[in-house]
Amino acid sequence: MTEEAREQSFARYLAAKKTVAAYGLSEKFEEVYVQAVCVGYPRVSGVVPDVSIGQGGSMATQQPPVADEQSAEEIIWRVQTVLPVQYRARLASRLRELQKAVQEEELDGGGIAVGSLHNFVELLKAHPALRYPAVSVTPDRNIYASWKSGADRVFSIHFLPDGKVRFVIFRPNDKHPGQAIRLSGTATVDVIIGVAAPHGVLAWASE
Amino acid sequence: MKGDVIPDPDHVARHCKTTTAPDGEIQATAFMLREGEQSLSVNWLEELRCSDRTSEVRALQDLYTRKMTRVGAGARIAILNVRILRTKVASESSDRRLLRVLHDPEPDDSSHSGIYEIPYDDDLVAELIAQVVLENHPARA
Repeated sequence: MTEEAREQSFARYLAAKKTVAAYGLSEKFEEVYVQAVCVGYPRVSGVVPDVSIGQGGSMATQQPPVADEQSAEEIIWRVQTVLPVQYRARLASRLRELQKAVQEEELDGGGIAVGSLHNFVELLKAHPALRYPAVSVTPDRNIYASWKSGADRVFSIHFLPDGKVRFVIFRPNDKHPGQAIRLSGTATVDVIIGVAAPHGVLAWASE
Repeated sequence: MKGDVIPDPDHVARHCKTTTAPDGEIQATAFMLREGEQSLSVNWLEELRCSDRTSEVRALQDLYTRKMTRVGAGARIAILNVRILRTKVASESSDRRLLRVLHDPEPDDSSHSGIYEIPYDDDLVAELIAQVVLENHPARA
């Protein structure tokens, strides 16, 4: 199986597992999934003789519950489809490396903070002109993205899991050559670009 | 001795996890505190009493291997000069912050030290520190 096929298979597995869990049938999931894969079904639909769906409603009228939690792996998978084609494969690869490194280096085996990762991806999705950033992970396992062009052009965002961000901006002082303006603060992920743009960060952070 | 001020001409080394050094380039995240931490752990290079930088780096790599459960393949060592570090932060942070670099020996790590007064909830100081990294070496031999 190729790497790409393996990833697609894993994504189908995660999606199927979530769907099955939403109906409270996770105990039988592995059995159901293996049966479905063995007979070549493209995805799990829940049609297996000894498994019933729902609690009395029919599939035609019942809406599946919306899953409110995504795993880091699901979000990273989504990067490959929703972000700009110029860097999405590279970013997904980088995020997978980071997730693996966090799991290996942290004593409890936990990964990147899912809320932080989600907010990071949403920001890139909302602002497709942003360039590929340097991505690292803070000691609290949050995503930290930096766009830099020399020591006096820095724009960094620290994505907190609750939708807030901390940011740092260094930019040249146009009226005083050789001097820099440095500021930092807090905002929310939905407004941070609007807050930072007047400081000229998009000159080096975007295409 | 614990609490001794590390002299300005001396150097400290910071172990930077793989997650803080994409493609080997050390980021500000290497100099951020975890919630509740009072200081950033470093090692006082001159206290290692090695003859040159190569020996110091080797001594640090051995130390990390001994002390840590796992040293990441992409982990790095950032070397900082105390004077440059303190001057940079004092002159360019908004509150003219004075960092203190103090010896904090541990039973199995006599060169262990700490950088104090780094704020937890403002990443600007960490960005400034990242700009004065003098040398960048692999943390694993």
